[in-house]
Amino acid sequence: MGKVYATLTNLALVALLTTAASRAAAVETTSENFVVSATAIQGTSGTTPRMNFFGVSTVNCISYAGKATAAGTGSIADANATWKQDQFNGTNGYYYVELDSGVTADVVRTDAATKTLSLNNQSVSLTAGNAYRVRKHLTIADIFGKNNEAGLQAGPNSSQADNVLLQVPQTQQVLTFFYSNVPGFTGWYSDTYVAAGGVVVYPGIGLMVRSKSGRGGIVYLAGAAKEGPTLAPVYPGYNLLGTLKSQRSLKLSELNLYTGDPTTGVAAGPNSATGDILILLHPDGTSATYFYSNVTGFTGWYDTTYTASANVLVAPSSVFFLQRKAPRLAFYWTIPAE
Amino acid sequence: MRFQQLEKPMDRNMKLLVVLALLCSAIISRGQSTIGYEAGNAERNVFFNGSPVPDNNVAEIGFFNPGFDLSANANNLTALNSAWHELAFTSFKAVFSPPNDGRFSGSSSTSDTAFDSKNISLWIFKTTDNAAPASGFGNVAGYGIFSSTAANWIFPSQSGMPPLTTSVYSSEVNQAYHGTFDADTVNGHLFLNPVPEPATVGLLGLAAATLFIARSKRRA
Repeated sequence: MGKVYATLTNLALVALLTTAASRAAAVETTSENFVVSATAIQGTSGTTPRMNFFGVSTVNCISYAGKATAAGTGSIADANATWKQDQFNGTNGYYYVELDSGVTADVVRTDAATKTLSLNNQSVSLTAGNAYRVRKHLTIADIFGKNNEAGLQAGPNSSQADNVLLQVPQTQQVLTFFYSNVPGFTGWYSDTYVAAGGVVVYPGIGLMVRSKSGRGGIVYLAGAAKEGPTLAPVYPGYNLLGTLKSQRSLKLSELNLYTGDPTTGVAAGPNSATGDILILLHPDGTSATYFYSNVTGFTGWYDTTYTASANVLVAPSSVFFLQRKAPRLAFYWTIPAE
Repeated sequence: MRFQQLEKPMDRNMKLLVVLALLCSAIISRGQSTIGYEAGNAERNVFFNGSPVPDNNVAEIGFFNPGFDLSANANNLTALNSAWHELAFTSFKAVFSPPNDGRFSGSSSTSDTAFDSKNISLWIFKTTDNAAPASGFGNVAGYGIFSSTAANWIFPSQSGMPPLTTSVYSSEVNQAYHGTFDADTVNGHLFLNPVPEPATVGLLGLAAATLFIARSKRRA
């Protein structure tokens, strides 16, 4: 606990210094609340690996903020921009743009001459005057530490080391990473031995850690609390999602997941067999499944024992699986503002 | 509007807030799987002797020993019981409907690896006192065993990829032992058969023995 306290103090100091530095190079319209968090990863007490689930409740601080000076689709034109060529892409890392609406899109090119950011989402549309913010994506190395500061069990392969698991909802794959302690190859790698420290963890995505020893670890994060709405894609199949909330719990009824339109939110149904379902993971390792009932007189969130569940809380940093049942298509979930 | 340059005095100060230092624990799952099972709303409900099974009767979820011949032993409560591995049970209750409508819904979690990858069965009882089956099944008036070939009727493996959860529904039943089911998955029913009368069991046993002797003689 002493170590935790000391590290938290250091992190708070870092946060203060970061803020002070930001003030010196201030931006008039941007203010952020900074959050420091420490999430305990528990090791196993036996031979069976233990799964840990958590959501990242912070984002990186704003790298750039401005307003579009011309309308654009799939790109942002800002005649007042001061960015450098490729400042937000390529070897500088992975960045994304967020708009006030909650829409986000990855930056694929930063053009200093034309003062244009090219985005990977061609459906993103801005008009002159629309505010935008550029943030750097969090990566595996950002979250667990470039040198495994989280303290997970390292190993020569993914079989012996603890695993960081990242669910990819588009493909329904689960990617496996580990911290290699092989001399000359230390660092984060995928289970296919591809360097993975730079793998992006998108905002709102949940993470899993499979602990194989008793040592566990602690994930320290310092960053900005994500304020304002955020749009997160929900794909057919399972999606491991967090609420991006660092401070308050949300009721199921506050999640904005049910919109009344099955093309923009979860599909209701007479039971959990037909409706989309939300699987909330509990600290004791159990889970509970919820669906949105459209039965007359019984509309709302219910669990699989048909108990009204609108007030069930989703705690900060916790995660849940959302199963979007085929053949329904993907939709964008508007994660409520902090 | 530039982040890197101060063009105007800052009229809105950067909020200097180290909001909180959270020490929170990740949600932990130590190989726990959660299984839902139901004859719920808009699914087949359960009938016995032409009526919905009343509330407080019991539906059990579990598996039978792999290789156990369910068809051959469907009438033998003792044999069934010895091969049965119960995960949990739940009582019939009102589910978005009037009471005594032949419906149940339950959920249970386990870390017992004995259930890993086993086929799920529902063993549903109607008792004379509309309660749980007594030891020895003395109060059991009827029962049915139901399962499905659907992929979700398998207990999740504790070493599998999350989410370690599945739900099984009466609307998915396509296998019945000592019972039957309607083709209509929404408005239809699962039907329990009565417990065989001892005399019936005796006759069946006698018939089996006669058949065995006849075959033996034929071979000789």
